[in-house]
Amino acid sequence: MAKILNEDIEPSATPDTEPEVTEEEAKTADESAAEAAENIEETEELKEEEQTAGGRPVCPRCGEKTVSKGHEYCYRCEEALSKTKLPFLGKIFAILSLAACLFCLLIVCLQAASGVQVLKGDKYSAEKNWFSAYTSYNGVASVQSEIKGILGDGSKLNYFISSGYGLKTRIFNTLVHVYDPIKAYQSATFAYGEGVSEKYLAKDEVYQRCKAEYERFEKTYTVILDTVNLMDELQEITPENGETIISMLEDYRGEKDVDNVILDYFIYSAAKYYDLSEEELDKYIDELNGDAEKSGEDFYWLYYKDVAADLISLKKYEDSVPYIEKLISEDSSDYDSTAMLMRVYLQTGEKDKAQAVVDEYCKKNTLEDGGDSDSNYSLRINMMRVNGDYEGALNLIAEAMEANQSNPEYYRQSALVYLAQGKYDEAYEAAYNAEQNAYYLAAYYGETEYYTSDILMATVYVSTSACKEFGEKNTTNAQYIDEVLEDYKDAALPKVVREWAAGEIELADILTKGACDFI
Amino acid sequence: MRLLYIITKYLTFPGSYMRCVWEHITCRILKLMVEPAGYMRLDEACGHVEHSLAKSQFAAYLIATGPGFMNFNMGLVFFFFGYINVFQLGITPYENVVMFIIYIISMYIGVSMLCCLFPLTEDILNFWDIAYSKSAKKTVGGKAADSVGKVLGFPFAAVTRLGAFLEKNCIIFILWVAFIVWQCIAIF
Repeated sequence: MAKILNEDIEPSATPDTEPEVTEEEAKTADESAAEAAENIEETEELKEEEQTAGGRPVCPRCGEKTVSKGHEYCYRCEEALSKTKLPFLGKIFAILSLAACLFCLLIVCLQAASGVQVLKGDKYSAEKNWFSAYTSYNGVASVQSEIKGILGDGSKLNYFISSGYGLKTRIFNTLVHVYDPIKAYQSATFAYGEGVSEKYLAKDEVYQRCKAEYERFEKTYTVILDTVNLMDELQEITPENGETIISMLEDYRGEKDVDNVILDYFIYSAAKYYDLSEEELDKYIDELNGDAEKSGEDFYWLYYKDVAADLISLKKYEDSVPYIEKLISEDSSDYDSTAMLMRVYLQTGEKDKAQAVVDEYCKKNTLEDGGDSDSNYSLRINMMRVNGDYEGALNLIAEAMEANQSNPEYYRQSALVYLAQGKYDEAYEAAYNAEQNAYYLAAYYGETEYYTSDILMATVYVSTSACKEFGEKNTTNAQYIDEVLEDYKDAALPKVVREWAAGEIELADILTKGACDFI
Repeated sequence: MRLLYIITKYLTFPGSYMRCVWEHITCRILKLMVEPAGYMRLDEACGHVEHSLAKSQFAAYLIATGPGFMNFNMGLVFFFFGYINVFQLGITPYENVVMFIIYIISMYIGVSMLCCLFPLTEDILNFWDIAYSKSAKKTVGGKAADSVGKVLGFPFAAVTRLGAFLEKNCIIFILWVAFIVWQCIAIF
């Protein structure tokens, strides 16, 4: 605007000369002068305004007010922008999310304890401590039951306190390792509960694997069933009968639905049952291992424990170690295998190794409060007993019974200690209590495995027989001695117990190398 | 990278939007100017609120970490609400489809919030400049209090600065996706 004005008011080049001006030219000049004057006025007004604001820029937002130094907007715009409202959707989101967050926080607090149990179970599973894992996973149900009890039956929050098939699969997986795939499959209803979704089981790999193993075993067993029935008919346990049975079993090899490894296992079991020679047993063990290796599958769960026990009974201690170590590597909570390994090292004079085995097991299987579990006590008592520390063993048994008075294994160990000390009446009483407690667990809690176990049967029979023969029979339950012996008349007792009953070996032999002692 | 950033912000829409809400509320509390330009813009500030920079240490720290703190706490709650029930207690669609879907949605909301924890690099750099540069002014309370505050706040500020960089380059989102995939493979 100033540039235009300067051009308009520029003086003429020759002031002395006065050119002639016509009337029209005069009028145009007047108009131009008036226009120029107006422009001058506008420019001066603008200059005046600028001079009034001190040269400050105008607010870019409103375009009206000026902006102070150091600010982006005018005062009013700054105030407006600092109070920009949240969008309506934002307010709704904020309120809803806060409410939902509080609710979720409540449920998380209620479910956190269950989650911690699962984490513990996962940790034990990673360490292959399957029994502890099983206990932890099962603990979820009791934790949730307690929480529901606190909330009350009518609480709607109980709907959110639950667990699903994923946890049941974890429990089932622990059973697979604590027992074996076949037993686990048979107890699947216990793990998954009634009414489990078939669609879920169809996609559950662990369950399907166990089902396949079970069906393979069952198919083989069905094919050889006639031979198994014949075994019942052949009452006498003689090598000749054994060879007959084995020869019949061999005839099934190669048939449809007969698995070689499982057939080998049945043949080996028959050889053991009929007391075949050591060489024969070795031959069948080798066949079993060979076919298992050829199959490419891991059959440790099928026969390793049996083979290890048999090798120990044949004094082939070093040969048994690889089998036992494999079992322990697959399940660090396996009490039976740990006890076998301990016994092997004691027999070979390696007491330090035996103690290390016990210490390793006890370290991995302590209770949450740091105390010893039942299996820890049993192992330590066993170690003391076979070391000859009978008083120490009895003291430890008393300590263990303070924690768990109904554990039949503690009574059984007491019976073995008393037998070793020659206290036959006390041995009988302890064995009697062991059987009674085992029966109680079987009848009221469904834990039948211990009640029907070889080691309990052997201990009860030997203690009762020894008391009848050598004891004074003046104890509380002495009146039942004959009744007990009558119950065991037709029982399938271990070989060494039968040998002792027949007078072929001494009692000390049973206690040092028989079924009573280590399994 | 900008396009990837915008895509991740839209994929984690619940978290991005909530972060904007908390950021907006924080600006209102601190009386910072906020441009009403919308939360989910298609530019580098997607998932953030356009606001003026704070002038004081506390305000700069609060605007940089406050919204993320809210998202973090809420995100953890939503995430664990779904995670505990699905991945630990084993709720499957075979027994309760509705609850399974609710838990999955809750985990999604939780993860999306946990992917939107950190501020724009401008905000954290503003705080860094105010608090730790040589020209930083002293705060109320004197030199001792100022030193203590800087020491105590340093780990959080450092983590926030690193996190802002990682979030800007979508690394946090990728890490979360990898974690979820790993858990799914391990469990299912």
